[in-house]
Amino acid sequence: MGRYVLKRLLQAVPLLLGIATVTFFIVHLAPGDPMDMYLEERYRREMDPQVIELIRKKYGLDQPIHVQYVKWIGNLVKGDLGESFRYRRPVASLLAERIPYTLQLAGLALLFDALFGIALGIVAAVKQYSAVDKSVTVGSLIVYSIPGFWLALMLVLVFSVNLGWFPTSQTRSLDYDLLSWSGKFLDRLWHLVLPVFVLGVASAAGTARFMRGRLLEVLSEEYVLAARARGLRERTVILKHALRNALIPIVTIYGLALPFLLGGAVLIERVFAWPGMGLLAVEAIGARDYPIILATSMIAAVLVVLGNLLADITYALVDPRVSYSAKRPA
Amino acid sequence: MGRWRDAVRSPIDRRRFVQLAAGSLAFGAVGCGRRGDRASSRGSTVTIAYNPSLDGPFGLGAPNLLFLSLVRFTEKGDLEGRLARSWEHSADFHSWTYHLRTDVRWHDGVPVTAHDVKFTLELLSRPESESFLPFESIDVLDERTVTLRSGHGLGYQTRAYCLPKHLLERLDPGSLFRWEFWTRPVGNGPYRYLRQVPNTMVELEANPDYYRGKPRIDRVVLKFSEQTGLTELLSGSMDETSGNTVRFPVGKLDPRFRVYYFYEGTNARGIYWQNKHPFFQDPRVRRALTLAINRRELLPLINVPRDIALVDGPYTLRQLRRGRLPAPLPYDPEQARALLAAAGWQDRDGDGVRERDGQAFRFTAIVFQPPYPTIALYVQDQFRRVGVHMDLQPLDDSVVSERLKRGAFEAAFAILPGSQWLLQDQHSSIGYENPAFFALFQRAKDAADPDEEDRIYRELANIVRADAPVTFLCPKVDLELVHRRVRGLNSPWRAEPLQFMEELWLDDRSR
Repeated sequence: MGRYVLKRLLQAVPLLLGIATVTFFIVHLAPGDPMDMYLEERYRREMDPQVIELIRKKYGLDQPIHVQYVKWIGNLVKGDLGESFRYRRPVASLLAERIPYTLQLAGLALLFDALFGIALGIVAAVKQYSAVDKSVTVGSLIVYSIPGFWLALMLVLVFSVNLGWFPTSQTRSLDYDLLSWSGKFLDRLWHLVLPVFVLGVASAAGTARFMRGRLLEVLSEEYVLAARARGLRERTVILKHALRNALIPIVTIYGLALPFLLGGAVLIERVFAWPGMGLLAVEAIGARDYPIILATSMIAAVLVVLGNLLADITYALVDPRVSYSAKRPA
Repeated sequence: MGRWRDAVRSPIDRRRFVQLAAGSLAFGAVGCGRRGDRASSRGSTVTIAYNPSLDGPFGLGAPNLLFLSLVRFTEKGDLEGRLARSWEHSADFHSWTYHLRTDVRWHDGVPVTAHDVKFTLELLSRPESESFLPFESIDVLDERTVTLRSGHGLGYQTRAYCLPKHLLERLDPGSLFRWEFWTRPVGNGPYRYLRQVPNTMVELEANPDYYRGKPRIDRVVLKFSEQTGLTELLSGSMDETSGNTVRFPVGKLDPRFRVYYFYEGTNARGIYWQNKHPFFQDPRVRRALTLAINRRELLPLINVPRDIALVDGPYTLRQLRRGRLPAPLPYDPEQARALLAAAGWQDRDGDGVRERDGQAFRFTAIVFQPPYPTIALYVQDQFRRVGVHMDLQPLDDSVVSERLKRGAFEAAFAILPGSQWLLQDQHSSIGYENPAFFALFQRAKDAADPDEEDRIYRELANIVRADAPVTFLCPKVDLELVHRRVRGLNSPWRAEPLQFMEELWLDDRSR
């Protein structure tokens, strides 16, 4: 297993370099001059041309694109992600500040997905063709089809603007630093409710559909029939025998869920002014803040690669039929 | 089937359900209880939308609240003392001597002196500051008197906020934007730093030692949610947000709020013509197209008051403040038709579009972000009435900017930057060749006497009126949505709460 993981990690290096190169050129080929955005946002376009040239020079924007590329890739290999034009701060420190917020959001959304998606899938499969099954099926299709940003706006309108139950945005209240420890904890949870729900509900709907289908497949297997024939209680048959096998492909889905959730978080963070990596990336795209765009793209790429690897490893752990050892069958 | 039902209705599931329901109720209770967040924007606290990414020497976390400049402009464009008690200037306006107030202290109690002014201006004269104040000399005559000599006019001096030398002189000027100081600034203005919640807000409190007396609004919260300002405002957790006139549904606004308009500097909305394009080479055509647009009628379509000043060429803020702008060109479709006919454009085949040498007057205009699509649709209809067909191509802002720079357009609806630097840069891309115009621009740049500057701008405006290398539609106007309890604001010169906070007050009967 160790050799397999090492091999996969080594294979990922040229892949990531390829992604880095393609991303760099796509980002730089996109129309728009970072200086235009910089001037528009910060100085309403009023700045001495000499200063504009100095800023260009400072960020290497006066260099030909291939020179910029070589410099960037060299720094990337050394772990230097550069300095943000917009924030005038090292990208690494910005990311270190923002990533925990995104992980918090994506992690809880994943938990929400797992809890509700799997539970609803089981209920729907166990009560196949019942009203509950039909409701879960139709409900999941509807929820899965609703764009996340629209759902987020509607929830903000209803639960924040009209009812005032939840905050419209941000991660903490204005009086957060004055709250007790438990108050702080509840305050953070209170701010997480809407964004986590929006981010998690669509993937939970997908999981529920998948879980239902997979469990129905497993329930028709012979070993389930055998378990029932042995007189086991139905709950034991489902939870101990069928569910464990039905969950195996779900592992693969969750391996790839993190990058997917991070993608969704980009829009959700924007709607809720959640100061995570997604919001940082969206703002960077608008401002043509190349170092941040490239860094966040690379993080997404790394997560996809790691997610795949994690899925493969977990697959081997949960399914005894899968093995990555070098042993050949006799 | 009964067994399936049993599996779901087991006591464990019921218990889980109860736990979940309890959890939801707890959240609901917390949520209901936390409506206090709304109250936090009441009392004597004002909560303002703020973009923290703009922190630094010019952003400075709302500089007017924390720091004083030497002088500032009044609504009429006259100078008003802030840190400076009085001042005098040389006959050529290049040398200015400021006498500082003796009753201004930094928020840590240290008196503000002329050395602080010199330190700040020298710091901001460094290219790294991105301010680049090109002073020839800065001389401290005594603790309260400083003389500045510059080849430029007043603009720089009014907007430079004074920084505390005693706290900053040992820091590396090269890393100015990364100074820890900006996260807990010590200023000399009407408000002082109180506390912050990371990634959420900064709270400032009224400075009891402020030389004009303690401001009437006790606390100002700068909330880092500029992007969600409108929903924050509607939910009652914020008192102000600003934005584009067409993006906010002003007409259907909640009566809790008031709308204040303000001019965004000397930027204007307008149309660039590619002066080298065969259709637009003739100034009569460009002028005709300008005359064909009823600009007053356009204003309400983009939610801008009908009575704002209309302009035909570049102008100074002082002209705008004093209402000394030349009378705008009239809406005159008849003259527009006559000019087009004189330029050889006639509708000979009766299809409603003029032709010349067998070529129909059809062109494509690229269109910047809102409100330009609204403007462009209106102008398209106005041109149709004089026999000109304009197709529209809305593009991403960055693409429009790129194409404007390269001159790759026939016409473009976009911002006309008031800054003389940028217009000068763009003259080649719009293909306008008029050495006299650009020589005048250079003179305007060098003019230190504000009267002289206004006179040059009038000449520039006259040239633009005659040649119409671009069409000025209206000054760029944005809006502030402010809770009606915040009083003391008015349009267009006292519209921004952050600029005038020390003069505002709260009327709690307006909640």
